[in-house]
Amino acid sequence: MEAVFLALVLMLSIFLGFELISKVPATLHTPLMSGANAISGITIVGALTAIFAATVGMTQFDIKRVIAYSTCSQLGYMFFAAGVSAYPAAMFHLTTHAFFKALLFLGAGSVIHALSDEQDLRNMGGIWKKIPFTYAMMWIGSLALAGFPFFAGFYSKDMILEAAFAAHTPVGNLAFWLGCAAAFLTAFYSWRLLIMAFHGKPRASAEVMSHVHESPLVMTIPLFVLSVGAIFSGWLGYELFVGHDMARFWGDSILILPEHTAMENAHHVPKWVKLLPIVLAASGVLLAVLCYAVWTGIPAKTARALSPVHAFFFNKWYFDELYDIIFVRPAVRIGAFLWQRGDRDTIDGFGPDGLSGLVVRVSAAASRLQSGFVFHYAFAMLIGVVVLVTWYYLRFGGM
Amino acid sequence: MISNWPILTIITFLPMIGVAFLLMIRGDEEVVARNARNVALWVSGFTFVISLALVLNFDSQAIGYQFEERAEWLPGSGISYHLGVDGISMPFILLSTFLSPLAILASWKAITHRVREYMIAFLVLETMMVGMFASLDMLMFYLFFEGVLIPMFIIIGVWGGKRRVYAAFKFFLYTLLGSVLMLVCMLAMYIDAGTTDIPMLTAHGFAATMQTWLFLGFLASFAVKVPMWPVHTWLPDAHVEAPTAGSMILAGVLLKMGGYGFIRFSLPMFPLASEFFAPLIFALSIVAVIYTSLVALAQSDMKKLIAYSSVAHMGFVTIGIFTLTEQGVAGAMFQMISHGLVSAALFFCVGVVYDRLHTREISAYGGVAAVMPRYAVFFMFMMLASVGLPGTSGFVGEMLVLVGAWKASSWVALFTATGLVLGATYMLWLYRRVMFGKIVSAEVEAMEPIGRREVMIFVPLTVLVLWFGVYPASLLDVMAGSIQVVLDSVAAGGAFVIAGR
Repeated sequence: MEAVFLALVLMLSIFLGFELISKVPATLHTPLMSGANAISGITIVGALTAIFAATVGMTQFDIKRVIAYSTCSQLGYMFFAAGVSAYPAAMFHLTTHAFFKALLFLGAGSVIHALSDEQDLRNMGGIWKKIPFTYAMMWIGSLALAGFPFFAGFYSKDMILEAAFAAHTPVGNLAFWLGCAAAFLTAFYSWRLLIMAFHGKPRASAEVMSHVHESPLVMTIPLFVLSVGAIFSGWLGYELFVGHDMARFWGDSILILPEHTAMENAHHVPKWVKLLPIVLAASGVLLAVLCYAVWTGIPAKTARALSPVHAFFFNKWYFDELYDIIFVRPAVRIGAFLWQRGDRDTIDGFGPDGLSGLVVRVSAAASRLQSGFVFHYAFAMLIGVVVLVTWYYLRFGGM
Repeated sequence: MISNWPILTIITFLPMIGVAFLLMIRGDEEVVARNARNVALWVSGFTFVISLALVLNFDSQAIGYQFEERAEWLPGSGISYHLGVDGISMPFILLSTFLSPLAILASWKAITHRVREYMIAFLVLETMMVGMFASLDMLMFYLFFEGVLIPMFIIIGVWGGKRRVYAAFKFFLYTLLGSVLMLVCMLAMYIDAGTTDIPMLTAHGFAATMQTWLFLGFLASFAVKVPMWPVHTWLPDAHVEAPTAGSMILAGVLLKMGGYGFIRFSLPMFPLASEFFAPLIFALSIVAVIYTSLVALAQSDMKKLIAYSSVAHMGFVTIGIFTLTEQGVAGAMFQMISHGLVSAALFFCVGVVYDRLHTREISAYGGVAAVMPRYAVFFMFMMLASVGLPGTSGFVGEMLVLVGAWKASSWVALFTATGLVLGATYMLWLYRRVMFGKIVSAEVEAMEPIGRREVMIFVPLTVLVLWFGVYPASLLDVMAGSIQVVLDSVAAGGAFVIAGR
């Protein structure tokens, strides 16, 4: 249930956020950030996001978390596509991605449901014969995500990489190579997920295994519908989004400055640029099969051998910790300082508390004057008379 | 025909009839308490129903005051009994009459000793609040404005928490100090203009230098009430020590007296000074927004956190008012009404769990959503309204204030907007710590879900917050004409004094 909701919310929010980023750069000309700097920034952030999320996704064990980081990675692609002014390619990938990512999320939901709410990949395995439909759907989703020929991701992701290459700028090249590396990792973590979830010996308890079942129609029908999109949406949308019908399809809704030619040139890149992502995806699959199906000891050994690197990836590049140090803790500490030193010590200390303390002290001092001895009062009176008389003579003496 | 009735007088003094009833109740303590609760609830509920006549008969197209009543009070002195409302005061009267029965309902079980006296204090408080917003005579305004202090002082000082006496005196001294300066200014105005009639004072046109001093005198009083930084420190203490219902009224209505005063007095009567001092107000308000938001972040006491958030939200209000733009003032008004509903609901949220666990420490809670699901929904809704989520009333006010601030200065808008981010941070964090996570203790596990009485308090508040969020025009249309009149007199007043030089 929550998987459905999550998928919907995710797609919607991605779409809205992306609408913004694909509309803003072309018109961005503030003194702080010229248009050129802004789109370079977007390209770099996008490329780094693509590789960052892919490295994190390949180390996670929560099935939904793997897919969530995969989403993050794919968003990186869309971002750097926007950064090289290939907005149509970005929107195209956004559309195809909606199908196969929703399919993967709902498929993961079906797996979790089958295993009595188990989300940890380490406790899965050996269930593909028991839930063949879900298994097939996850294959389709993974093939589309990894960009294998004729599946949806093939058309849209390759378009983005070609556009980045065709930008012929330093940041464009950076995005292209990081994007290729991320494509390799995408295939790797997708098949890692498939193998860990469905193949090998069952790692769930016998109790759980006895309950494994295919999901009801209410869950499988949406999966089927999405799988159709995951297979055909790239092939169907290609000409409209980024091909010959592009100008007619987008009309005035997207503005590409004439000096930004990446979209145009993307159709005329060398052959190896078109082939490289497919080769990388295939080798990613191969590596995953070798690591998780053939020599199953490799992943653990690699993680141990490269433990600092693994820890870095597994802990999401320590972004949470970094933000905690940069933003969260200082904010709380400043708040506590303002509260204790500002409100309590300064404002209250000198304000109401200080004043009332002063009143108490002054009145205590004043009350000491009232000693009750007649000669004290008589003496004070005498001083008063002397002062008055002196003042009178000094002031009016000359008259 | 109802329009011939002295309806404002009726609304203002109806609660006092309830007080008379309460004084007459006899019997043992149990009976007195039960009857006192019922009398107070029925009287305040009835007052609310009658006050609805204001809404139904209000003409938002008309310029000037409506439902006016005037009677000789001190003949020949220029001081009279003069009541009336416009689009600025009418919503506040409704807010007061709406929150009063809810506050009484909120203290149904929490108050167990001296129930009769407690209810008397609340009914007197209602009279004072309504009277203050309905007054069109400065002297009457002052009497009611100060009169509000007395029942609230007693409510905090008698039915409050451990440090109630400290909090009550702090509250009283702060507000009194400001008010004394205002009284001096009022005397000066009376001697200059020969009248205390508010419409006549608005038309009077004070000299430029005099405006400066008068503005500062009134600022002293209103700034404490709002409260503005750095005279806000009474508020957290007063809220923490006040009983739940006291906090509801304090945050819901009493904080609005300052903002209302700015719009009714400072802007139209001292237009030059208002324009001159606007940067000062902006600076103080921006400090308030950022400073108190950060302080709220550091709180470990739920009620104190929400109290500090109130200071930040009222910072928005003062910024909006002194942008002197249509959107800014409308946004400030909207924000005040919205905050009146939302903060009352949030303080009640704290009261609900306090009644069960008798602690306000955030760390004592955790996983409450699992044991009190319906409460979790209401709390979340109000938390999001406080953050300013679109679709709730909080969004409209903040949005309009930001639009107005942008017109005044983009820097003001920028700094003000940081308050939105911090606001979301401390509210969401509070909600996560209290409501989500593991159930921290057996006591939390044993907490009872909210009952019918508590739902009856939450539902009307929720409905209104949603209504104003989805259809803000229903409130903005009522206020628009009167706000325009105020802004016109700011413009005209400035021009008039300059021409007179």
